[in-house]
Amino acid sequence: MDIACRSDEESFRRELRGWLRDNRAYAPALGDRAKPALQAWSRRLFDGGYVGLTWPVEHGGHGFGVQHELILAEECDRAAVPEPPNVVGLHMAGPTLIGHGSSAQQRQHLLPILHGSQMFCLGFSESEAGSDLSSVRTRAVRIDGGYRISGTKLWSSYADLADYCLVLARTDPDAEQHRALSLLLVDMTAPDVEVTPIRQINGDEGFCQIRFDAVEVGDAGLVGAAGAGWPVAMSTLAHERITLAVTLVSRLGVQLDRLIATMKERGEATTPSLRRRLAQLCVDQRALEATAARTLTTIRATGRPGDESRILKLQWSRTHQDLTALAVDVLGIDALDLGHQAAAGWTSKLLRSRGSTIEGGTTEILQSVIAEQVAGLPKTR
Amino acid sequence: MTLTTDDSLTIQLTARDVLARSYPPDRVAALADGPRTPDPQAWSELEALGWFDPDLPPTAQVLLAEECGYHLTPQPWWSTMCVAALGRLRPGPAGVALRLADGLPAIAAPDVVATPGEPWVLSGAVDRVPDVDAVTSVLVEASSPTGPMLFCVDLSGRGVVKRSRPSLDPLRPVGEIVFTAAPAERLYSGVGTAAATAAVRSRGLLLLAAEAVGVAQRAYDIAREHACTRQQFGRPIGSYQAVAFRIADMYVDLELARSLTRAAAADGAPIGVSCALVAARRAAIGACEQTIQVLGGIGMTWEHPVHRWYRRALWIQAFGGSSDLHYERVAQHALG
Repeated sequence: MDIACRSDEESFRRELRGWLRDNRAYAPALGDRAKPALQAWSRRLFDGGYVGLTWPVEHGGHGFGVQHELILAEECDRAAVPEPPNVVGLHMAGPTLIGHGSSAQQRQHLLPILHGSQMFCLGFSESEAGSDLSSVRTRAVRIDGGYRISGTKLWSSYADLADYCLVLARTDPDAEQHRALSLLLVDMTAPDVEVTPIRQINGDEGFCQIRFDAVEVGDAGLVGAAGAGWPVAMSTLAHERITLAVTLVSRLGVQLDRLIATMKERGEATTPSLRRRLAQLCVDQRALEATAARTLTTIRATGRPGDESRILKLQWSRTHQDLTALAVDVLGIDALDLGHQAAAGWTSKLLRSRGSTIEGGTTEILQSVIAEQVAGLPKTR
Repeated sequence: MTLTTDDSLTIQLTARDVLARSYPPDRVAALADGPRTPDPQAWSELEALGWFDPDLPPTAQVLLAEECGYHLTPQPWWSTMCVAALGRLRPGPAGVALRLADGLPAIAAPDVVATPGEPWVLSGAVDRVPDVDAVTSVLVEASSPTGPMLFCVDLSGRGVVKRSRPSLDPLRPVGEIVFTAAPAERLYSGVGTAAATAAVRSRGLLLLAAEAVGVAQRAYDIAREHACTRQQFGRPIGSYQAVAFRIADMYVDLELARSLTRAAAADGAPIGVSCALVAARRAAIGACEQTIQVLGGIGMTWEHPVHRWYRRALWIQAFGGSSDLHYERVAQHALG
């Protein structure tokens, strides 16, 4: 299919569905974290033309709009296969290197990110620096020709699989807060890097602690200028904000369909209180979908997202929690039996959903941002 | 006609400009407290602005409806636009007698009987007609020897007695019309009647949803202005998160409702209208109630204008079928 055809969303979706039908046998099972299998799947998706959809063409991407990412997310979810597994590389580290990296860094990392041969993680949050990210304590001490990095990072997704980490570290302890930080690319295979998976409340191991013990990084590992880490880190997170938010919203529709199927299977489709809660979820999901569509229209028309985009992640997290809670209520006492397949799935999702209002900006921070930046209220405490 | 983002913005800003000049909050309060008098000049102004243009798509109409809700325009534009959904408009404001039948609004009703003739005449009474005091014609469904039919009645004709009643929202009072062999123009009969009724209902509820978004927006603007200026304990009260977060949540609900309303206008499906209506009602009632809370004592006075918007939010909540009913439609659509 030629480029003009693929840029049409409906054609792209049809093509993707066909490709998924032909290739799903090669996909690892959802939740499978074996690196070789994930990398083989990444490469297959890349060869199929489904990786780097929104990346600029000159950096190996397809130059499509965010809608194509949504279609990919939806269709992979529908087909129950993993999306391109190098999530951090594709949506955060890669765009950061495109925007702020040196040509050498772009040459070294961008194509491998797209192939999946270099997997990435972020080293941002710490035990004492979560919402207050700029107070990070990981130190990058200047040495001859580079830096020596020491400190411990937390909540880093995919760190156990990553080849490289984008680390936010303090390079100048005497400088004013937001000029004291730099962003560095660290080779995760170095001996002084220790990764410990953290077990989550649902039993999964999705994120990790990373300990850097005097890890040496050359000057070539600095992303952007020394001391300019904060604005670059903010742009990394901002890039996530819209793309990941609209992707989460597009997946919500698929989850709602599954919930409806569960309700019908269990004969609860006629229970008035459950019907009412489901109706509320349908309204909420439709509202999020419509808001994501408005955001994309505004981006297309003006190049920037409008204020209404600020509600996406905040509202998605609430709706996602409500959805999993309703599913578990539909299961009734079967929810207690992890041997029951539907119960195991939905209860795991419910437990995991408690993190939705924490990760990617806590609800409290997001409300503060709306209060201050949208409603124009004074700085709140 | 597909509206671009720029077109939409132009329509909305022009409307806002005109209404802000004509209907500042204190004028709205005075109009609400005083006797309701028709304002043909204001009506002509809206006509001149193209508000009754038959080519105006629903996506533009909802923007105008939002502004009407924001400013509480006393003109019966909404009820006229319900009738305009049929593509036929007479000069002057039109009303529609919408009443619940099987829980959802239908144009009333079997109580009004139509007798064939040159012209047809109607006898009976309809109640809960919005803007009955301000409209010059009304759309009525009547039962005839051959089934329900849709009529338009000129209220200045013979055999018509109108009775407006004191209303919760004085800017959109409801009242009764009694027909005694009143001449009527027949618009639809037979199978066309149900489709016409559905079109009027759908448009009416969509525009009410949009109006409710405008009401929510006004309450939100009142709240944040107050939170920035009112000081207690040495700081603006908006700097306390308990207050700030109420306002942030208002914003979330209002934007969700706005998204649903605009999507419903673009898409045209009745299920979208039900979703938009329940969300917009919740946003409007919630915003008004939270704004009264943020205002504190003054929010409880007649003098402060916020209750005017609260009354409009309550009107929209009460009219058009209960939210329970609309949620059940959504459940039906999803679950069967």
